[in-house]
Amino acid sequence: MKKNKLFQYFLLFPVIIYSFLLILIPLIYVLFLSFCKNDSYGGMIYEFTLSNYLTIFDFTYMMILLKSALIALIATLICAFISYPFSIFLMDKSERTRSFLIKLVMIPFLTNSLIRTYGWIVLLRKNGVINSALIGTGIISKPLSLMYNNLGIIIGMVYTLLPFMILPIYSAVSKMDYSLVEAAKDLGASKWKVFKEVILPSTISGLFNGSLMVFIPAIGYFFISDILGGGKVMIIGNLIKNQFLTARNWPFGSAISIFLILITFLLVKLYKKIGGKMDDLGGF
Amino acid sequence: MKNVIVRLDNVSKKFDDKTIIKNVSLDIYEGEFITLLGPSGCGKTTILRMISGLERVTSGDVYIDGENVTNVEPTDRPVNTIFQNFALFPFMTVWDNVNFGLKMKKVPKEEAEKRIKKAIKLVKLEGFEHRYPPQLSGGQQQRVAIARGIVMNHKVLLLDESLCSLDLKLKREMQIELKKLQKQLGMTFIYVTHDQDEALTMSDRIAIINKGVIEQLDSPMAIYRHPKTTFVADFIGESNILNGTIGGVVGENAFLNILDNITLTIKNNHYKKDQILKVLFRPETFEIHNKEVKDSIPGLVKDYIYDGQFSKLEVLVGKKEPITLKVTITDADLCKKDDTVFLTVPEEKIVIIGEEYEEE
Repeated sequence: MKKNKLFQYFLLFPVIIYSFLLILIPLIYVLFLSFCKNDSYGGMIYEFTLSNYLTIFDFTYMMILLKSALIALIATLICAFISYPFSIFLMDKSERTRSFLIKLVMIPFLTNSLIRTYGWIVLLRKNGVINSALIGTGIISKPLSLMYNNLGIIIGMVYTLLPFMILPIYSAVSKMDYSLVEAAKDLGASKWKVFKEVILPSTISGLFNGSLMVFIPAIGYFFISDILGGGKVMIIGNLIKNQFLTARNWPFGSAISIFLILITFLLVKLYKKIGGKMDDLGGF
Repeated sequence: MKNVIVRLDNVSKKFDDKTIIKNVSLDIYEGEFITLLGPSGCGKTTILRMISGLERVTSGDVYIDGENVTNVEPTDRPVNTIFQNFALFPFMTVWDNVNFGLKMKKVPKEEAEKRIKKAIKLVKLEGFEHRYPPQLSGGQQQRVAIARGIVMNHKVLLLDESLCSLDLKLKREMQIELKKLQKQLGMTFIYVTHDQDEALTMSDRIAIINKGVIEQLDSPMAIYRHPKTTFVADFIGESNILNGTIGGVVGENAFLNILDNITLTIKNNHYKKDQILKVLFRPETFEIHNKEVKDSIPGLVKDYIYDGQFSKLEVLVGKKEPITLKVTITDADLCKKDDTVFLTVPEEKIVIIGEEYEEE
């Protein structure tokens, strides 16, 4: 019995070390830094202060936060709007069709997301594939500005985060008893009513789950706004990155990071309160 | 003349080139309890789903209440289904479940309330209106499903193996209740099952389905007494099916040769000499004797199971090609294992499979 327990710890050892060295200690360090002062050369003065946190509540930073949340929210909604029809379409298809289409969703994600984001430049830029095609067919005369703005960031985020919405929703929809859909039809429900009255309430946990998995990373994905926003659009992820790399104000960067973590925790709490299960998120 | 409420006209169904239903035509009358009975995979549920519209026909036409509904969505067909797993909405109360269809059809609130109350009363679920289906027992869930179907006031209710998941005692109770309910409402019930006891006790008519075709459509009694095919004879009840040849015809009588050289005298029914017949003996029609009598089949009691009310025997008959007959007797003292016995069957109880018969 005791030997068994020891063996379990032995197996867990790498994970414990990993979590401790690479997650917990850096996190404590970030927390510690967030209460320190910054000197003008980018160094730290180890004196306690709350000013970093107070700075976050400046109008400029609040606007960035609000904008980040708005962009993330729009990306989340678009993801949900794409995921539901797709999952419902797969509902009564054969096992082969299902697994084929789900693989199609997954395959792009075996490639590095940074490279894929660069790929979007080819499609979205002024003389890119989409604009050339639209001008070539005479649909538009002037190229659309599809990137280096909020739209570009949203397109990039939807593209990158879509599987995190599709998978939980698909899983919830496919776990759903299909006879419920049939019963609803049998009782005279239109397609929209079947969705609203039966499918949505049955799969709401998948929607919450997916929303969380999309919204939280979307707030912080700085490389998408760097590449597709062209550095013109500041979201909270860029703000943090800039504090560490460009502005060299580590304490302020740390404070925003901690603030973001707190918001994430709040969202998870909210999710639990609405009735989401932590199991759906992989446990907590 | 009875009013046809559901008509299948030469209906076929294919799934990926596999024919599941082959040219089935079926008239179902208003107010009858009809059962589609057959082994699993025979296509009985597919027929039901083609009536509800959840499955489209590959060819043929479906009529409900005189209207061709072949291309009508299930949403707009005036029938309701009780699903095998009940398919109750787990996140709605009993009341909301029953209300669902009325809400979809935009029935005015007052009228809806009246109808829901009536339906809930009919299935004896008063007091459970605000429970959720997962909090109910199997039998109660079944009742909710029935209430949800009958509240729509349609003329036809389709039941897909609806009693299957209940335990035996509850099943028996629900069988009786279902039958009562059907009579009370005057609705047409189309019931799908693989359970022959259920079919025999509840139905006005039974359609025996095998490999996508209707083998026989008749009253339970006719199906048991006058099976049209060997499949029906074998599927319903216990049966002994033997090959027979007409040895000769003399006026009113015909001589039927079975087994090695046993001749039974039966009533002549336009037989010809050397005509080959399939002969059905039900186990309970045998009479057992210790001495040879006229038209008797000698045999050896191979197995004897005393079962209280009945004794079940296996009797080995025939010399060249021995066959084991299933025999049921009520008098346990007549014989014992390893006895030689002589079996007779009253002439009127010998059934020639597929033979025309007169209504009883």
